[in-house]
Amino acid sequence: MKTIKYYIPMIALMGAALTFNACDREKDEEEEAPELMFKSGGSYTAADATVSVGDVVTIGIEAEVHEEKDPLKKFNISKSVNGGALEDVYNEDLSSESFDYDFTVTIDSTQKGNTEKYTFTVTNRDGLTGQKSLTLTVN
Amino acid sequence: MEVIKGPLSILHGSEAVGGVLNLIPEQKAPAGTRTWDVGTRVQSNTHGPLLQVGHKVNHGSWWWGVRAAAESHSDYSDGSNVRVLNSRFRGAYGMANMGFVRKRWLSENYYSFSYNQFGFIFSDLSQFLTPDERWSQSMFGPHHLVRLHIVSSENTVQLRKSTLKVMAGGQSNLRQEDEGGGKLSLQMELLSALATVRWTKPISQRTTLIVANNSSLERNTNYGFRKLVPDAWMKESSLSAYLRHGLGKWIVEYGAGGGWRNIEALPTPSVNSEEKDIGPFIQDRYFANGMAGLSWNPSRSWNLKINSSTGVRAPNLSELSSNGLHEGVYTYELGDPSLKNEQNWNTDFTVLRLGEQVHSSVSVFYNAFHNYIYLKPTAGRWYGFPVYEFVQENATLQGGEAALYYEPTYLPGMEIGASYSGLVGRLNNGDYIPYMPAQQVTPSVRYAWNHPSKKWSGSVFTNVQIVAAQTLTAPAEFSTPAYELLNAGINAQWKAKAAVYDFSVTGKNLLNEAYYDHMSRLKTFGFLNMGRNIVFQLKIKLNSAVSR
Repeated sequence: MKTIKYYIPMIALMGAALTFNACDREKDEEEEAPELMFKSGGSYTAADATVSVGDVVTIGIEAEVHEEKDPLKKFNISKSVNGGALEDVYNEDLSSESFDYDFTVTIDSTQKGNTEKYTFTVTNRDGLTGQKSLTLTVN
Repeated sequence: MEVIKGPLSILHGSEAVGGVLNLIPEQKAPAGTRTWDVGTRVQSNTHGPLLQVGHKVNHGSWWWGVRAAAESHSDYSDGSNVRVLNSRFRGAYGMANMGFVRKRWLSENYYSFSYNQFGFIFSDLSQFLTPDERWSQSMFGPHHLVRLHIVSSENTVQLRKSTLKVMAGGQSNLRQEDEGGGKLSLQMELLSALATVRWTKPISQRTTLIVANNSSLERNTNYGFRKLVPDAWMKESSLSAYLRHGLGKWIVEYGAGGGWRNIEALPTPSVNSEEKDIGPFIQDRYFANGMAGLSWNPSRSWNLKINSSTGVRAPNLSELSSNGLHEGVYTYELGDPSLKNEQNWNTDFTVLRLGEQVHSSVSVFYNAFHNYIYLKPTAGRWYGFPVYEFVQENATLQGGEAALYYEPTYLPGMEIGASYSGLVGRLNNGDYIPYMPAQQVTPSVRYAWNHPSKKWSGSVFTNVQIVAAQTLTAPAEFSTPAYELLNAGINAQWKAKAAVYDFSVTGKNLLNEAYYDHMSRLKTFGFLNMGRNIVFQLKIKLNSAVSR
């Protein structure tokens, strides 16, 4: 019995600690990424389009987050020409739950024959992104 | 806490590249006694109280003890009397221990628990967090929650002509992030099981052999929707042998060892899923280490020591597999599964003199790193955010410490002295390593007294931390200006028949200097360190006898 007396407290210590970790933890649902949409109507271009030299193209975006505590942190426009690497065109630091922006590009002769893909991205505080792309084919 | 400096991977496994902290558990009560103690501490800067109570019993052949504590702090004020919003924290702690000795077997067993909440400070906090009451301790804003359980059992068995030590332990470290309002985003748990077997054999009167095995098994699991590193298994085992020879005034010690580490990053949605650049992986890493040391005591006053040792550190999960935006600083961090182990080789030389009145020491070290891992900015951008990647480069850390103290024999209890520390860390490409402490000199005066009745004792001290500017900074790291901190304190102890009363008042940064500690992460956001802080502490210990 004396021997058991020594062991019981030790076993109890180990058991108590392990018990804390025996329960399953439920995994939380995924957080929703911010939403980004193209403005439509009026003079806005909201889908892939074929354009000509001299055209003025306006692409409008609207973005919003789903939770107040995860505001938008960055707005970025990148461009890829003829399938090449993405290059930054515009960056803006944000601190808001919603954002809208009109991006205007005037097609010039240097762009003749190009296929230009514009990618619009908003990123929230948790690093989640909302993204939309649109391709202009210059004839 | 015991600080053991220098790479000690041969004795303590991988990751012991700069040193080891030995957390010494609470000492047991003297044999045949029962002790109760209660203590409180209050800090002026954070209006933060701490209360603790403990109970220990020692029956001679077996003993046990328990302790509980809790503390809570408001936001601190810096040296300009500006509140650092959301720097508050609080914690609850519990400890229990039980031990026994039976013939040749000594067993000491410990359990500790802590639950902490830390306010989370990042660059744009003020844009969405409205300050509450000045001395509020409510965790209403974003904060970390850290829950820790640790169990350990240390067993020493005296064999016929040697000693066997078997230590086993387990740990659960649960880290959660509350983004404010009670919603948990990050939930990550690291479960660890560790074991050490150490056999000590005196080969002769002057020679001791130690053979040791260290092993660990760890599992990282994500439970929240926000994930920084993947789910993973990590296993390690190492074997080492160490010899110590005492040859008159000389001590020679040397050893070698090697080990294996396995890391398996498991498929984890949004971290290493198909659309990500870095996928799941499994790696085996092998390492070898050695050490040699020579110590010479030419007289009772002098000691000269030279040591050379190696350490190894396998890249951690973050360095291997990061692939996302780092919250708070908004940089995109990219890991690299092909990173090699960091390996370092350290040589240090120490001269120590303990005279009748004057004590002095000088210690210098040179630490060469092969494949040092650090975070480097790149020219790339990720949708407007700067991209950093974990890379490797050879590096060196070199520096030294010195101390000089005078204890005049005509005034027992008086000590006047100063200490110095400094180091420089540099990559082979010429860049300095970030977060290297600045040079510091600390002159101090201390006086301790004991009343002839031995019922009263106490001490008083003052020192000045004189810290140089740190201008040897990494690219994109802020330099920090020089500063001085005046500290002072007084302690008094009274021993009654069955009780001991201990009271102290300590003041740090008494002149309320506004400063940046170069090691502070908050300096990047423009936040100064804590201003003046006065700490009042009272402990009462009650003793009684128990049967053995």
